Amino acid sequence: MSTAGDQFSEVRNTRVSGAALYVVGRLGQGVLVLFGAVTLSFIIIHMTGNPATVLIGTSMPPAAVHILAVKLGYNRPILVQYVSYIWHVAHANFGVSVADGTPASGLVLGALPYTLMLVGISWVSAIVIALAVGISSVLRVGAWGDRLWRPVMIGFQGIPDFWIALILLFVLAVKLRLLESIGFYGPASLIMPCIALTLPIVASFTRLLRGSLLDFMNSDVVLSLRARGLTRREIVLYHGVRNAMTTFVSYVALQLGWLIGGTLVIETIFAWPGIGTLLYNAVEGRDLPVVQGVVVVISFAFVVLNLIADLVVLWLDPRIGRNVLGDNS
Amino acid sequence: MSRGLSVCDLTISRKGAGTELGIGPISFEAEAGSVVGIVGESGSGKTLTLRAVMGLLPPGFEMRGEVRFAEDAHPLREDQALRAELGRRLGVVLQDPFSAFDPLKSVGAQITEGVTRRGILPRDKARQRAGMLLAQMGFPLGENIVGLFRHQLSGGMAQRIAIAMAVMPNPAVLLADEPTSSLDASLRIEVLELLRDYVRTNDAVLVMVSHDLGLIARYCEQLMVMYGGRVVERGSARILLDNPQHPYTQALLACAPHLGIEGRRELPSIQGSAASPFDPRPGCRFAPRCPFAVDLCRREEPVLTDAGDASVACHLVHRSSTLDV
Amino acid sequence: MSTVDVFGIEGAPLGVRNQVKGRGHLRSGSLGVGLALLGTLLVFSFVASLVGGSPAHQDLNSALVGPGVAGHLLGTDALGRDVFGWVGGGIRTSLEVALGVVTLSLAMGCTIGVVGGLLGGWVDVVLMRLADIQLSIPPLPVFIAVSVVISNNMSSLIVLIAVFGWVPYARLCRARVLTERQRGYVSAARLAGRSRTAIAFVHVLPGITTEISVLASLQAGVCLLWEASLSFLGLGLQPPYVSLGYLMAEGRQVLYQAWWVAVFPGATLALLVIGFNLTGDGIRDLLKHDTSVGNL
Repeated sequence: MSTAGDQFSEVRNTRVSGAALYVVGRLGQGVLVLFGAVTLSFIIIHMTGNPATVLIGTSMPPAAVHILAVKLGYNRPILVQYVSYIWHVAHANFGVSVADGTPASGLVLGALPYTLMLVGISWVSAIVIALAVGISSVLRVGAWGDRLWRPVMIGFQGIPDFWIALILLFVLAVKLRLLESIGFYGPASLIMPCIALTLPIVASFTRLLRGSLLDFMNSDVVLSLRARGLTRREIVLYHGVRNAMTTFVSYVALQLGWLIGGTLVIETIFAWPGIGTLLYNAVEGRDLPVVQGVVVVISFAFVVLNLIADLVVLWLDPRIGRNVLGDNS
Repeated sequence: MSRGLSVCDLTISRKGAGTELGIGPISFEAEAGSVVGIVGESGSGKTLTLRAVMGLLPPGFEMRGEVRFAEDAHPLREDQALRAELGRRLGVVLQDPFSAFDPLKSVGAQITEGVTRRGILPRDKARQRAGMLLAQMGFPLGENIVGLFRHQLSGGMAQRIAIAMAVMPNPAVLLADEPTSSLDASLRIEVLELLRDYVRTNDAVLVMVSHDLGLIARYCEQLMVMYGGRVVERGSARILLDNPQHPYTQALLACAPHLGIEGRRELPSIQGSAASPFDPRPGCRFAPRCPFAVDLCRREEPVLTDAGDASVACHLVHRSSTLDV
Repeated sequence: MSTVDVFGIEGAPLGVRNQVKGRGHLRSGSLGVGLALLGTLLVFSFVASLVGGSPAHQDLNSALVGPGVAGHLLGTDALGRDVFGWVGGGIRTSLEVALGVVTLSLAMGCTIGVVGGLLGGWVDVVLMRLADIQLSIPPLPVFIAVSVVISNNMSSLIVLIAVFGWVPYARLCRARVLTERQRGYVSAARLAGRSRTAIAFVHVLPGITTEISVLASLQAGVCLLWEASLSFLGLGLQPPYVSLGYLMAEGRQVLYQAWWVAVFPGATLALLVIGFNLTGDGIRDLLKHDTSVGNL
């Protein structure tokens, strides 16, 4: 005969198998997306018919174009090229850079850490600030705050990040001569680009978090929590935040993916040695393999991030794993 | 020291408005171990009354009057004071059993949360008490309830767990707002019996609000019938059931299928729609729907006065009782 | 009285509940501000075209002149172009781009959504998977990559950006078609012999105009940022097109000497985007307010 306290031993079995099903489903979707992205990059290159023309320009005699096409394999039937392309991508082989003859994948992976550095710091800063500001704004119930928040946040969201970058550049580098304006030279060089990147997303993160928190605080559950004797502070911190997290996590993961793609302009402003600059130079120099490589890598990063986010949400929300099995007693 | 409850002249009105327009005055005294029933249609003000006792009136409303725990020397008048009693001497069971729980946490964590956070019980003692209460609520020992989440519960289960959760701090007063309305008919009796048995065994007071007079009458020692924010009849449940004097009470009983005569086909209903407690029209609030209304009823509002063994707010009852003498 | 209502007002009688929630209408101040902003910018652009110098006109004698000097309200750039005039023209270009993108995206998205909703089955599944894939690919790198092969004109730019924006419209239309399909009047219309597409267009679409305008406003803001980014990189609109992004790129070159060339176009762009965002948000607010009051 078990004692009363024994009821607190938890049974996790049903939850685990439901969760596994969910993860497999998400993985499948991720693979699909990746496939789509790879295909897309293939389509881009072949959109004008013969990539060799793109590489070499139309002013060259057709014979030269043809030689190049044969050399690079662009004269084969399109399906053959496609399959061959998929095969190579699966082996992380994007071909050889037109600019310097080194493998494109090497260039891309070499530039990636710099971009990740930028993106990572901005993203984490935005999350931390959003949590701090969002939660404390809900803890404090002030009439003035509520009405102003939304427009102010929307305002910040609308400001182009590269404009902020230019202003920062002007003020800090030109006028005050505090910072160098280009390149990567250690931690201090991160300041300006990161501020420029962080500001627009801080606004959207904070708005979302505040919105989710307020939605929770206006829901029916709160009356019951209050009736249990919990203070408002306890409700916000121990119940509200957790409930708001599911939406928040999905959203910030999405934004991270978009950030990786969106640092391009900032990178070119600061001559940052990341994949943004790499892509830009590759476009200028018509370096197709590198272009393809960048697009695929960015998509891959995006898929991986979303998958991680889905896993985190799964961990946070006990309803997901169970719903898959339809386990409702 | 007895653990009863007394409420004196409780009124709820819009902020800034006087007390004439609003809900109340509501007064009653309940001994420990007894059940008080407040009955009325939706819109009659019964839910707001409970919220006032909880100290959780919505913004824009204010309360006046006193709530006194029998063991205290002094009554409580401020909503902050009442709110401070939540999770200690005041326990609450709400209509929707599912909204009692945070969907992301196990019910077990939530049952003990109130008392552990307020420092009433240490965690291990809280768990023990929770297990014991769950057993009282009909969950067999050893059955793993505490690990479940709200979406895995049926309505009946959730409400019984919610009751266990509400009584964790051994409150002197348990407030229940339509505790069985969301449940299947078959479960209602069970839940009502749980509530009544609990307060009897633990010397608590249960104040239960419902729209179904027929259902709760047999579980209450005292009954108050509310209409349009006013108490129209008040007395012991037995008296009210045997001899309802106010036309509204009579109509409610006539509508109750539980006490209906076998074989009756038609369910009678009361014509018209409920009056609002904030309607400034003069006269008795039930007059527009009352089959016996006269001119006096539309001009002057009746006051709750004793009439026999109950208190009734109706001109016709007073007139006839004065005539009797 | 704040909007953060910890205790909820479910207990209050219905009449009271609606009154207390009535303060929601104050929030559509967003809408007013947003539209006012856009309106002001539009007016500004007209004024600029009348008063300011033409964006095409170069005058090397007054290159890099500061704001407020010699009849140039916002200064000139390295080629002597009047910034005031350019900004005015840039506003018009941006609005053209926004209009084109939104219209195209809307048309694509609604068609796909309605088709998916009506036909169902594998068609629907395929389309929705496409939508998922679409959303998972960050657009900017693709835009840049595509510019390898695509030339810089407005139509291709509009098409490019529109292709990346159809999903929200599609989802909206599809969802609405699916719910409306269940309704009685649809079966009645079918019995009367109307084709499914007719039903879709006559009955479903009018109901969602407000939601569509929310999506449209928000998309307008985003696509302006993209266009500006591309033009900034030299991959979008270049002269003779008058693009705010392009001028900002010029401003980058002369940042040391002439900050105004970068700052003013950027500020204008920000105001345009904010205007669209506020408008979209304001309309969304009105939507929420309506349903909460109507819910008895």
